[in-house]
Amino acid sequence: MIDSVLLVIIIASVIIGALSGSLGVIMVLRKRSLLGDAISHATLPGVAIAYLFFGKDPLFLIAGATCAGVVGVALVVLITNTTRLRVDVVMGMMLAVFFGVGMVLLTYIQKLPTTGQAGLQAFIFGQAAAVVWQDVYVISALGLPIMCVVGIAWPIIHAFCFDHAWLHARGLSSFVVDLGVMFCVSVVIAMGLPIVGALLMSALLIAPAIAARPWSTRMSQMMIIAGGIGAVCGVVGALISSAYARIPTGPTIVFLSVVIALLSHVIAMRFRSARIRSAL
Amino acid sequence: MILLDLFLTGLVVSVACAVPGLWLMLRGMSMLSDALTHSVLLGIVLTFLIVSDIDSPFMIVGAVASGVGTALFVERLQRQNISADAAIGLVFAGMFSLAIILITVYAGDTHLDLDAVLLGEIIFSPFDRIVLGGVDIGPRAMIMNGVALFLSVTFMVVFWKELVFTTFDATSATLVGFAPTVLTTGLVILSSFTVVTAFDAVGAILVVAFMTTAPASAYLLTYRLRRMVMLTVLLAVSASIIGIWVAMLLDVSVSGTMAAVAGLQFVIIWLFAPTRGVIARLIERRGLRTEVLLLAQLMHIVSHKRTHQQFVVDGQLVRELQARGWIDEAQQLTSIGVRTLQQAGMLTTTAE
Repeated sequence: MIDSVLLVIIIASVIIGALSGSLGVIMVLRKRSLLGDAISHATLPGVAIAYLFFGKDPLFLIAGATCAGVVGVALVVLITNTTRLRVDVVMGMMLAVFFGVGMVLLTYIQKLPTTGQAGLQAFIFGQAAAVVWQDVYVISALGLPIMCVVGIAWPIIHAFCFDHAWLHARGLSSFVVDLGVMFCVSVVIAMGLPIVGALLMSALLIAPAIAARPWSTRMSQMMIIAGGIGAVCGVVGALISSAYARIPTGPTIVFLSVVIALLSHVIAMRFRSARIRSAL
Repeated sequence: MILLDLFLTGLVVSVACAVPGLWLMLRGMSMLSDALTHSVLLGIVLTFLIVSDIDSPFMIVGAVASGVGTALFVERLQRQNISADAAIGLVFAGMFSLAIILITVYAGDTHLDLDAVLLGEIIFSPFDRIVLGGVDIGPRAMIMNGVALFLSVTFMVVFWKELVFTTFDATSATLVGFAPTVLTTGLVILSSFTVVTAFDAVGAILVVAFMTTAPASAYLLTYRLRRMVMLTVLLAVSASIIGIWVAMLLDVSVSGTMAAVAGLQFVIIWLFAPTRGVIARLIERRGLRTEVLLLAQLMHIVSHKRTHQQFVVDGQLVRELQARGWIDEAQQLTSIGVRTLQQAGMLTTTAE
């Protein structure tokens, strides 16, 4: 019998796993895997500022985190376009500096006389046990429209990954599409923060997509497989951490997805060499 | 005295990270510093579970081993059709999540504190001192990072020629017989060592800030390598001193403020750098636009004077042309104007 607390955690993990798994496909195909890491670290000052102004309402915390994430991405793109620095340097710098600013704000908040700021630390490491029904409502209320947007804008997203010439021919600016896609990704990362934490959220974005890559020939196929893997990791991770009291939920989900990604590539290699051998 | 120790520790940590960070950046391996700071944690945790002494020298061996392991693993995955960034993201996430699981599972039995390892607080570093034979030689963080700094500077000075050659022309360096991978491995070992020693004081994530920000800022200021090294050190020093001072004033996270100040320094340099800054280039572009317009107007006047047709001129541009002496009051081309047009390559034969 599953109790209500565990049910909340499982539902939240499944939704986050499926959402980040499917959106992560875009990041991996665009060779942007590490940008997710930059976004998730960059959300921290947004969370702190949102807390300072609006308190612990999850909707505002997510909004703050999303805004900071988008600002981080915009800065990375701007600095890369106007200097001769490589994008990996700029990403590393941005994520660490934003994280530093977030730390400064968090230590400032901790000195305030108000109570209830203890939960903010959860945004760094994630704390699935603190997830309540309200979080699930917010996650589903934001996740559904994001999936709808992805569905409606599918040709554009597809072209964004593979064919920028098509975008330009249709009169779309790839910078604007880029910002739109990164906005969706930032929202998903922001929603995952309370469960997985800022440090590991990016891995949940890319690991299912990397796992799905050898088994798919179409982007839609890859998205469905990656979403499925993310959701399964969510359930199994939540169940494992509930069975053993001390095992934390977020890192377990991430570790599972990384192991699946590595296994998937090893198995795919075996299949490939077996096929080659039989062909000979 | 404690204050002085704090400033010195911050300074040493910041410079010790910046020096290997610069070489990682120049060799296009910056993201490895991010990966190292996360994956080294697994080495620390595993070694700690075996020797259960946080001050043991084996901790550094374990951390360096896991750092080198990360680099090798990433390289192996890249041969598996996984792109470099995805491979790095995958490997460090796997090692990092395993480390966090281990820490929380064994948290009750150990003194390994997740917050301290990841977020670090340099403010306590002056109180953890190394005492040898009854003599207090200084704060542990300062001594350890001093050793890391000494090693990186020695490495850089001894292998300067090889580093420069393999960094900027890896192909011909390999052809001549230098092995870039040997130096890369050396750099990875050095960086892992620096990360381990720095992490105690400033925490894993902010190490990335110190490894990337000062080198990136110096990169925007100069093309000369020696000058870049000097500037990197200088910027690291100023970021740490201003950062610690501001943090004391506001009473907030010291390492966080150091990273924030380093970021601010970068933004200021990015915007206001003398020749390559965003603003300097905007001004240059505007100046260039005026020059082109002036030349076009001059050409316009010259060609129409020649054919005696009616033509329209821009009053402001004509006044500027006259002020420069390129044309006279009657809008006739002067000798200076002829020379200017010839220099611009817009007039090949001398105008009558």
